[in-house]
Amino acid sequence: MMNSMKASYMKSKFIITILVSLVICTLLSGCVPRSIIDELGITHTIGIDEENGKLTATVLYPNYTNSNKASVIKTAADNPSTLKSNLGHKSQSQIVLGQIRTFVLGDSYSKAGISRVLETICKDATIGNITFVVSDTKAEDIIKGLKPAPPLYLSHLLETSVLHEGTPETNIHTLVSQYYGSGIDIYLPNISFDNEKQLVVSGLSIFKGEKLKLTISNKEAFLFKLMNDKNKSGYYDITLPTKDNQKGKDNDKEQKHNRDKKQGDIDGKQPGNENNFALKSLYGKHKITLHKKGNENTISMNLTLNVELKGIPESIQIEKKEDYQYLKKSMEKIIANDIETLLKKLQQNEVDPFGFGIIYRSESKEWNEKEFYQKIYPKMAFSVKTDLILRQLGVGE
Amino acid sequence: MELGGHIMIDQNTMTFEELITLAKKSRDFSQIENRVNDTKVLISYFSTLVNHELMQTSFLSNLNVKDENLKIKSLKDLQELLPLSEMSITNDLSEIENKLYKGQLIVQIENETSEFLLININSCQTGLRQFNDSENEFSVVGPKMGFVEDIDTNMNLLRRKINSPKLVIEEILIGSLSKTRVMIVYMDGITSEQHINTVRERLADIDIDIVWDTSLLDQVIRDNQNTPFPLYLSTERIDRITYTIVSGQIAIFSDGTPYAISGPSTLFDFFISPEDYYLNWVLGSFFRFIRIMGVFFSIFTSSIYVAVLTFHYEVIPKDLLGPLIESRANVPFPPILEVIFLELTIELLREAGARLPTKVGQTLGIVGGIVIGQAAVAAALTSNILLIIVALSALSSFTTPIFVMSNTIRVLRFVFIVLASFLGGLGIILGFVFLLAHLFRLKSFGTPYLVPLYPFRRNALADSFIRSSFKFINKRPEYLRPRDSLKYGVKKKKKTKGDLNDE
Repeated sequence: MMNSMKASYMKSKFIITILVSLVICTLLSGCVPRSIIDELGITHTIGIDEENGKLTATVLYPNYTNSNKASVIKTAADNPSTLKSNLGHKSQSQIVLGQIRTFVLGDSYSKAGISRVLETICKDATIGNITFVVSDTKAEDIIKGLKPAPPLYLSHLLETSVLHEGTPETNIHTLVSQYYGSGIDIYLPNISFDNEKQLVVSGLSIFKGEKLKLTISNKEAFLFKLMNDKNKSGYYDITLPTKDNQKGKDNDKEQKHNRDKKQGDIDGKQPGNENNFALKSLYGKHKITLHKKGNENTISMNLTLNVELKGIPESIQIEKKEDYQYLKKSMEKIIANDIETLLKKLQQNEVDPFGFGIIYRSESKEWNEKEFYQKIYPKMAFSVKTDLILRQLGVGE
Repeated sequence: MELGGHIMIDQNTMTFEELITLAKKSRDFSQIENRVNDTKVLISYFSTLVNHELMQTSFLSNLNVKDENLKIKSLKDLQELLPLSEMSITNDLSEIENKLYKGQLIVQIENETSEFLLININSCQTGLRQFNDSENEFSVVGPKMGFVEDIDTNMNLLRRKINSPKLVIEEILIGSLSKTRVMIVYMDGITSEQHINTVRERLADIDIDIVWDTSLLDQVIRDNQNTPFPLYLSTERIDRITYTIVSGQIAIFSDGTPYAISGPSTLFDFFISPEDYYLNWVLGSFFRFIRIMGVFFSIFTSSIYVAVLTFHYEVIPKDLLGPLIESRANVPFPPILEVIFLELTIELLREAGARLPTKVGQTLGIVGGIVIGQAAVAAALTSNILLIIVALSALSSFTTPIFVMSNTIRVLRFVFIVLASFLGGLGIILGFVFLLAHLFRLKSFGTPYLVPLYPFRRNALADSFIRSSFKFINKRPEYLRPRDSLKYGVKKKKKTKGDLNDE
């Protein structure tokens, strides 16, 4: 009898424990509002601008439920949260940010500073891994231009560009770590419409603090990617100096184009520069180290790159050892020089997307960001070494 | 042998005359008076239970003795006269009563009032099916034989498979009205004594009127009455029950049903198909893995659909977003109603399919399901994608080899769907946590139910998620506490260096 009473007591205690924990779980989680998927205004792309001292947001949201027509809404407000509620006033369904893929920052807004929007976005738990891009006009123009395109056009465009075409990878994680971290600056891909009204990824925008400072070209962006990302795939344009002019002009990177003698007299010249060819980067490794000698700080960069060559100039006979060596050495030199030029350009503009500050900080006891960028960084010296390994040359004749 | 308490009292007070009076109330009770050389012989039996042919040829014809010198003085003399094997002389009234109602003849002779001769000529084969295909647990490779409704046939089939003196079959009568023969089968010297005693005790404690099926015994003796999970493996396949017995489990058979149960079982036992062992271990492992994946798929997909579409639109992959919204564009219901509607349709089809006579009926049910589903989509009652999800999860619940287990999975799914509709992903996790806690606490004959995982037993993992090569599964699982753990020895193969000529 005692046992059974004890057992039933235990059992009821157990049931009460279950009920209490269920109630606690429900209370703790709160009542999440239902957001049924087809009743939401799901947006993938937002453009942020500043207009007359106000923030404006331009939202492109696809209408999946009927006819696949996208709508564009634009509102202005003084702060990001009001911006979101203002958007809701203008659309038939609640605008939600959980499926945002790309944030387009207008150029004037970027120059004014992106911190407010960035800090608001960081606090929104529904926003996942998104990409930020900077447009070279107003973001509104980009969004409006995207209206006839498929809903995820911009996101896919950036994805392919990062995967295969040599744009450095960026997302909200890199952005936030660069924004809050000291010793590194923000870089974001740049987009614009070209002359034929097509959207292109056009280089990289580099920020100083929260403000846009410098824009570099696609070619430079690729060099940047080679020294910064793990994924090194992309194409690089090389104009080979002619063999005859090689001597004495080794250090000159901007080789003037000289026609090959064999082809020289032919009138019906093919379009393009025939000493110019593309180098396809396959994979490789980079290493950035800091050498300190008293007050002199040298950044040395080593790059080992496996490349595929397609369409090398006819004057080069790759079977010959000297030609092979010549090709390899001159390519290595060109790339090294180009990287060095880029580094100097960044240095002159006082931006540090590579994060030399982080490397410096890791090797010195004292760290003062301001002092580093005012005194040490402008005086840094660079030495770049590249090693190309020619893996493939395409199918032979 | 123990019987229910109140029956014992009845039999103690009843006399033989009362027994006969009670039996005479039934129309099929007959009594024949015969004379064997001046000795009066009284034969009482139920005419519906005895084999009349055997009675004519072996019994009655032998009573007509021509030899004048033969004198029947006792039952022993009569017994010697008859060419039958199953005869016994007794004065135990309860035994007489039992056997009378099982179809035996009671023979009395003059001057002998306290002792009776019992002769077994019952017609045990009457009304039994002649084929024993295992229809409900089909396998493509391997034997297709199953048990039948007759327990003697079943024991015969079992003994033919396990040809060893170690196989012990204990009998016990259960059921105050049915007095069903229930067999406890185990391997002597292998199966744990403790488990055997547990089974004996639990079966002896049963007080029930009629044993309909072993599943009834299962429900009465199980460790936890309120769990939807089957705690004992129930099967009609000979090879499966043989496997459990030689692994060190105890099987329980009951007369009148082809299903046997065996225990202690673990959750993984329910996802084992004999085919896993008939195929190479690579294939066997793959199919078993598919089956276990199927269970998770079946339980969780519909609920995840509900959770994601009602609460977590953020987690949908971007390329799936368009198709998902488009397919739901014209559906007027919230996802929970949509899912419940379709799941119920599938359940109805399955129930209807089970009532249809043949396998064709089942296939027809599925095809009907597709047609109904298509029509439902066309009428904008559900979305296309949900139709696929529900159909696939129904399909994957069919892959579970044990029917009882697949029923459990069917039911669990609804719990998760409802939880998902209230709390979204949190609800599913909450449900999963409760499910795990429940599974951790379950026991089968005192052995943990989730055993290779909790408590973790590394050795037993070789035959859980995957079916390893026979080289590695030659030991009985430790959690069954076998007295002899080695199933068979593994000889090491000599590695011979290949000769050039071999190639």
